[in-house]
This record gives sequence, C-alpha cells and structure tokens, in this order.
Amino acid sequence: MSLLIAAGLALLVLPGCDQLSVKKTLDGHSYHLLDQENRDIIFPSSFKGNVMLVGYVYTHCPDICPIITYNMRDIQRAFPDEDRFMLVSISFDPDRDTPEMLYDYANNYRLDQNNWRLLTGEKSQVDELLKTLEISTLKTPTRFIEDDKPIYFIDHTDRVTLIDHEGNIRRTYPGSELREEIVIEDIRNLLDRMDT
Amino acid sequence: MKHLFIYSIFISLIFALAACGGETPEQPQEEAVDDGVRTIEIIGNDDMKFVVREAAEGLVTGGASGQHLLLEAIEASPGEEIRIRLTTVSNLPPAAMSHNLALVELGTDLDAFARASITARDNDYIAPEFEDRVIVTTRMLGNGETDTITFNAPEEPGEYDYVCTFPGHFAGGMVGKLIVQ
Repeated sequence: MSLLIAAGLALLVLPGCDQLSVKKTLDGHSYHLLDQENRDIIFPSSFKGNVMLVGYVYTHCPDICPIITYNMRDIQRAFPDEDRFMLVSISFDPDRDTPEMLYDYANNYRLDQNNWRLLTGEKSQVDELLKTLEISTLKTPTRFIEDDKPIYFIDHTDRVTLIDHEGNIRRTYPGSELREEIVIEDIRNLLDRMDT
Repeated sequence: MKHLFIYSIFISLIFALAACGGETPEQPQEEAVDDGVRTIEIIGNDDMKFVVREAAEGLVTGGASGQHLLLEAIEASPGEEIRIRLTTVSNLPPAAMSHNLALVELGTDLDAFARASITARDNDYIAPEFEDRVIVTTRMLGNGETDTITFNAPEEPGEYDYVCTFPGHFAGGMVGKLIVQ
C-alpha cells in the first residue's frame, strides 16, 4: 500500500506530469506591435508581471474566432479584480486589422479593455511571433471587389495559450472549445505560484 | 478541433469555387405584392449591416454603407401589419457571409442570444434555447437570396431588437430596433 502511495506521490512531483510545466520560454524574444489604441507594445516584455491568456483571431473570421473571443471573455469575467492577469488577442491579419479595427472589434464584443490588449503590427513581426507561438495560418486566394477591397479568408490553428508572469508558455487549449473550469484553475494556480 | 479545421477547409473550397460569383442583384428576386401592407426592403451587405436603398417614413436611417443607407430602426404602431423583405447582397460564398433578421421579445439578452446562435448551424443559426424569444425571423440567406416575413408588430409599446445571428454579425453591428409606439 505504502509503495503505491509513494509511487503516486512520485508521479505527482515528476515535472512531466505537471500540466503547467514550462513548455517554452519567450525569454529573449521581442516583437514590436501596436495595440488597439495605437500604442507601441513590445511583446512579451510590455506585459511582463502578468499571467496572460493569449488568443489568435482575425476580425473578418466567419467561423471560430467569435467563439474564441467569447470564450476568452468568460475567462476574463471570472477574474474581475485580479490585476495580475490579462488577456491578449493577436490578429494574424495585420493588413486588414488596423488598431482602429481592433478597437471597434473590442467594443463590439463588449470586452473590458482595462486588461485586454488586441495586437497587430508589421506583418513580418506578427508572422515571427506566430511562428514562435506555433500558430499556423493559411490564407485563401485574394480577389478584389469593385472598390478594391480585398476578399480572403485565413484558416488558422484553433488555440489559446497560457503564459506565466515571466513569459513562459505553460499550457495551450483549443480556443473554440475552451473548458472554462480548467483554464480558470490553471490561471489561479499560476497566480498562486507568483505569491510563493 | 479536427472538425473545425475540416470546416475551415470546406469554407476555403467554397470560397475558391465561388470566386467567379458574387453577383449583386439590384432588385430582390421575389415579386412585390401590392396589398396595402407596408413593405420594407432591407439588404444585408458585406459590411455586416442592415441597409436600405433610400430613406422613408417610418425608417430611422444613419450614414452610408456602400451605396446604401444604414437602417437603424423601424417605427411601427402597436399591432401594425408589416412586411420585411430581406435580401443578401454579397461578394462572398454563403458559408462565409449569410444574413437573417430575427426579431426578439422585449428583455431578451441579445448578446447571449447571438452568442448561443453561433453554434446552431443546424438550426439556421437560431439557438434552440432562445426560440421562444424569437417573434419572427427570416431564413438565413446567401448572396442573391431573398426571404419575406409578414407579421404584426407587438401590441406592447417598446423597442424590440432585431439581429443577424450569423457568426460575428451581431458583434459587427448587424442589429436594429423595431420601435413600437
């Protein structure tokens, strides 16, 4: 019996069994972006000190991005008074998603923007960041309508990333099928670890 | 997640196949009926807006959206019979851009209704748990399609919301009010 308990404890403390073990560090990475208020952001250092839930969307998305944004909003609302937690939405369509577009998007989704930054920027910077975060995108062929407005869609990885206060990736989740209780527990766990 | 990826591919394929489409009908396909019922011709466009071709009595319009006017509200008398003819005008395939117009009861949580409806594709994007809140709705319409609904405005005065429940369109501002007074 005691052997079984010991084995169980050993499993618990093995790093590989910790769902929140560090999967990758963003230490040394630096991406120059803009937020929805057109302010310069250096990701991730501008947000260091916060546990971050990071999602990937584009405002013209006709399928899962609205679901991802709503799911993240649920998580935000579970932490109304937590100033060490924030949300970040990175647009992988920087050509169309200007800061102004992202600002409107945030307002339309009734996001509390006090601790939610929506990021865009130079395509090269966005692409590098997405590569680091292991987010894939695939753009459909572009065509233009009468007023030269481009029409295209982007297939993309359906993911949300949890990053700790030091810029370490701790866990990823399917963004459109986010299990709220698990994400909330993970965030609480990371916040608790900050205290110790 | 896998099925979402497949769905995305499906959308891409439809988009590619529809690349030569995008006809924008100037007039709705259905024949107009002259029976004295006030008929409101509404267009749903690629900017995710309800628009009308011109201002008219009983319509509250805003700025321009393309070559049309934003429709912000419809004014009606209690119990007035109204006909709404909704047409989608789009350069996109239906899987990516379709519109409906769903009028809901007073006090409906529009945000919750729109959100729940995102995943109700098999029910024409009307969340089953909100069906009892829907007074009347058009079908979900792709480019060039038209649907007509004829109904009586509620007897109770108030501002009733209507919304397009296609994913992202509520957030995109595709909403308006039926003002009963």
